[in-house]
Amino acid sequence: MSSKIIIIATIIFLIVSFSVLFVIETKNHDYDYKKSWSVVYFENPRDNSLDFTIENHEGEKSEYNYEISIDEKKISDNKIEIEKGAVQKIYPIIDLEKSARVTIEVTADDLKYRIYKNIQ
Amino acid sequence: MPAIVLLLLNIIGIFTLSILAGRVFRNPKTAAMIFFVTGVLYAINAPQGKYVSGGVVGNIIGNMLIPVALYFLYRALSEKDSVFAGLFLFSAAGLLFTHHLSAFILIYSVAAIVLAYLALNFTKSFKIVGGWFRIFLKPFPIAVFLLVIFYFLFVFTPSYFNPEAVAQATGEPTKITRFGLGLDQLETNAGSARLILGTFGFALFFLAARRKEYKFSFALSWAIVLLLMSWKPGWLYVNIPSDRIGNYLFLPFSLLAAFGIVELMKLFRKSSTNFFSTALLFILLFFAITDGLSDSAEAFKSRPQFQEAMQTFHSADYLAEKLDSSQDILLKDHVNIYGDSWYKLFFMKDYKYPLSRGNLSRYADPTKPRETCTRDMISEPDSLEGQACFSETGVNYVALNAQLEGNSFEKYPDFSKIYSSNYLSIFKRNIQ
Repeated sequence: MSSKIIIIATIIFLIVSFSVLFVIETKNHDYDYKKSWSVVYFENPRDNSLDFTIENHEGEKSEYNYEISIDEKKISDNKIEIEKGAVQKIYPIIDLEKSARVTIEVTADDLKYRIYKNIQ
Repeated sequence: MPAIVLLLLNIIGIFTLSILAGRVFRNPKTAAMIFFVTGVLYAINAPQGKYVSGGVVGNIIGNMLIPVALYFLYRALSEKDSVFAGLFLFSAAGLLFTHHLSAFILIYSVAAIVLAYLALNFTKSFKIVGGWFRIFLKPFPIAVFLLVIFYFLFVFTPSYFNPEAVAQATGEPTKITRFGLGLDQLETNAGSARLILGTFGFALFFLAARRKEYKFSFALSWAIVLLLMSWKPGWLYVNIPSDRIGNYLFLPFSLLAAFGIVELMKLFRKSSTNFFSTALLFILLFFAITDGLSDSAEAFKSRPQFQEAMQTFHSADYLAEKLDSSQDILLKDHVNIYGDSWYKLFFMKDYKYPLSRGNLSRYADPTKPRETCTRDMISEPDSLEGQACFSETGVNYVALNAQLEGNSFEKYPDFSKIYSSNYLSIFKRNIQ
């Protein structure tokens, strides 16, 4: 009888503790749950496209400023508001006549993210 | 989710060790004590818990299947039961398919147990071997064996199942990391409380058990062979990193430590001076608990790193979606990126994809030159060595910690920066 109690109690404890762990893990694996970060990336890293994405995981709605420069020379400066947890795609239209480095600098409060491509 | 599944497998592994202890020592108290020496002591620290958090799938399954295979072997031999013999073959084959190092350890362990039993019963050895044949040459074990052979030959043959891989793992040690561990390293691998209590249990069992019984060979030969494989691998022609073998020491030493504690408690109970024995027992348990738990406590992070881990997963997800892994070669920095081992899971390619800069000490080996490209392509991408490495390996994407090399990499004109988060930067090499 006592061995049955041990087995049943062990199974119950395992189910309860694993259920709790599952819930905690699921929350922690959310990009936004108790986290504060952003990310900027090119949509097509394999070609010359300059389409890029900003993801807001700062835990609140944030305003991002993005500047586009060609060979360190600023050609455009824009602002965009992104909701908490939202993904914003941006499609800049730039006419390049020669090889250049195109840099996209995204800032929000004291954060700065820089991506660039050497366009041939 | 994967980490929780690994945790569950790890817990099942502890249960299997407990079942094996209960069968070998024929004492439910020893079986219960296994939960103390493996579950409470060192639950978080090496070599169990860290495999869970690190995603070391093979070792976790190996730690679970080795006691299972030995349990079936013990029952097959001691009870002359061919059904257990078949189950032993089945679980051993499962280990061969799952984790080659664990299978290698099992082969050495079984060989040691069998040889020790034959040596201790030398006068009856022919009769014993004949008895084993009678156990294994029955329909069920033969059917399992044939099924395994069929699976090996016609369904899937593990990549390491070839003469070259066997030759690499056996023979004289060829690297400094394979020459064996010192006592302090053994202590780190098995845990000092477990090592001391296990040694005590070993001595006690050596004196108390009947040497001609299976349990004597099972409990002691297993510990001896693993100790020799990790301490003096050259003696047994083992050519595998010693610390990886040392990680298995906890299995037989947990068994012996549990036995040692139970026997110590019996001794203290029989002692004439109650006060003295209680004080000694208290000191012993205080040492075991504080030592085991402090090792685990050191393994805890001072703060949770979910934010870093999620950024790592996000970058891996991005790369897995955007890269063509048949053409693009990715190099990541294992030294400074948290949770990067999970990158493999996003690509599901092969063991060596993506390439990884390992811990820097791994590149220094006085016995023979080691591959240094994975280090040089991150540390000195602009140097002649670095450039040659890029050409040689075809690496065209590099994932780095944004705060460390991620910033300094921006000065190299050969690279575009395609991804930037608080924690990670990814660069693409422009020159092919």
